[in-house]
Amino acid sequence: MLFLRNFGPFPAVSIIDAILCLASGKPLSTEAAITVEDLAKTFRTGWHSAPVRALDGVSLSVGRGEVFGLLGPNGAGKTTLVKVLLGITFADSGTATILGKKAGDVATKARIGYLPEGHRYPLHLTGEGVVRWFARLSGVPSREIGPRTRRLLARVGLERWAGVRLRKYSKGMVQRLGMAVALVHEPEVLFLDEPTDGVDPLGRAEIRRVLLEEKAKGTSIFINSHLLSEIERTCDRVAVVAHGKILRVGTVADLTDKGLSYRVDAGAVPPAVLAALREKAPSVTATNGLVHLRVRSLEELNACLDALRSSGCLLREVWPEKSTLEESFIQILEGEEARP
Amino acid sequence: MSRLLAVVDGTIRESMAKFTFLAFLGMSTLTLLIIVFAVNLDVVDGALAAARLFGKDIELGGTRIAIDTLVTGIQTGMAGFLFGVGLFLSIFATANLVPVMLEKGYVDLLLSKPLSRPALFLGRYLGALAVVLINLFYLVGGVWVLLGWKTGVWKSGLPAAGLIIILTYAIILGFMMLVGVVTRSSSITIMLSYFLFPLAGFLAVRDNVTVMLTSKTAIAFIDGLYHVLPKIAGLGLLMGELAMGKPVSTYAPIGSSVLFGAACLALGVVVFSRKDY
Repeated sequence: MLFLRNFGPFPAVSIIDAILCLASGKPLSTEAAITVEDLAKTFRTGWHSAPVRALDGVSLSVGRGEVFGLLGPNGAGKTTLVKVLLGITFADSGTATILGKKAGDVATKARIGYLPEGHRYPLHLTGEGVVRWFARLSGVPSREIGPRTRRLLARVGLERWAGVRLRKYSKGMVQRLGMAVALVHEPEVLFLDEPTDGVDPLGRAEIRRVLLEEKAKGTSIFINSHLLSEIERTCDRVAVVAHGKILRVGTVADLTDKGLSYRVDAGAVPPAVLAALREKAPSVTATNGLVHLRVRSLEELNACLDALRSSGCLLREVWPEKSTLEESFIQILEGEEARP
Repeated sequence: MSRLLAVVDGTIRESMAKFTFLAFLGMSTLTLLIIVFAVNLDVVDGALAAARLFGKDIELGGTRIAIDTLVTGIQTGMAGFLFGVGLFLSIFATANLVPVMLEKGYVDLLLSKPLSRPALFLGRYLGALAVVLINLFYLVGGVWVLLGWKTGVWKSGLPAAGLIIILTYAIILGFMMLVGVVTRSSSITIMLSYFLFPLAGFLAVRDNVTVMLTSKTAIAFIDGLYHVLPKIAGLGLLMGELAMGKPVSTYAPIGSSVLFGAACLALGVVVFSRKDY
């Protein structure tokens, strides 16, 4: 892909990104959507209880148009980080910016969408009433509120429920309504805290579709989620956080990479051939008709493959082994726990 | 400005959806309908000659009641009822506006919008004030117009008393906003707001109490409370004088009470602007 410019640690802006931004009317910029530097926050809950260090020197950056996932166990500091970025909670130290402005800047909030965890809307309103009211609060011009509301409710599959009061909505429907509220002012940055919480598989697929549409428009998306499969499917990059610290940041491929481990489908491999392979590679196992090779270099891998071929085995497929995101996540957390 | 109006509008709709205000609006409407259709007053030479309620004659006992006196009496009774029951109902119905706003999941959404915290807080205050104003205007304005239309007597007592009632509510609302943002509890807000009434009654007769005390600290404490807290009893007396068309003895309770309400509201804004949610 041809890059216009590669900006520090952020994904480069490509010709395609530029075209997408221009097509959606959003400004093309190489500045980061979100930057966080050495952010710290301690909660003091009472006179007798010990202070809780929710954020402990967190630093990260999210590029424009990037989908960024934050993974972590309960109480890791994920929601606190989002709240600090939105000015709902105040940090003790460190700096954070969104779209180049200090986090919490009132004017910048007009360019930010937010779906909080466990969000609550006024129950006396209808679904349409909720979206309309939050559109007004977000500063959407009055003539655009009606058409946008109808369009968004259709987009999240709630058009038939538009006139129904919220007390009749299921949890999944309220979650989808939350997506409509978060998108009604066409934000450039979207924060989603557990967006698929309580949503059935069909609803999850719909929310994922909406997210991918937003990504295609160039919206930067920051997702907090426990659902690792959702993160795996939607995020460009992921950070693992625990005890208020970022433990690892990278693409899903980076995080799930197992190094030089490969699976080889070569049909039934005789024990003698396996023994010969064990002399060439540090770890060779065979399960369910597949050979698992752990090698020290690509030369070693090729030597193993040559040995298989020369023994008459036909190679059907060779592919690198990957962990699931869940396996990697647990491994990273266990590594943190084991640290003195 | 449009976002502030959206907060005010949202607060009005939220309050109007409550049973308390719906019931109050229903009772007000019933009162006005009774005056329109069921009350017939025959006025001769400035005095009530005959009165009928639901078509039945009311026995006047041969006494000649000046229509001026009758209208003043009705207006004073109405004003007294609203100063007591109306204010209590209003406090009850609006005490949860701040605690509801601060509920997890709702406050996050509101604070993520392009609206400053003071504007959000003041929007909530103005919304609650507007709801009570609408209800009060509907009943007071309606009764005043209908009585004037039926009797031909237009006294300014009831509208003037209405202004004092709404002012008293505005002062108490400032206190409710502060208690709400500090405690996040509707019940504590209601209890403390209601407590202001007997306390105000006690402080109104503080001179009679302090003469019985020997401790200078206790006397200073009571005097301090008197000067800090709103003069609800004084406002009640002022409201009564206005409703009855009597000369006003003093407007002093207004100044110190407004100062109390404004200070509470300002303190509420400061607390709300600094808290983590």
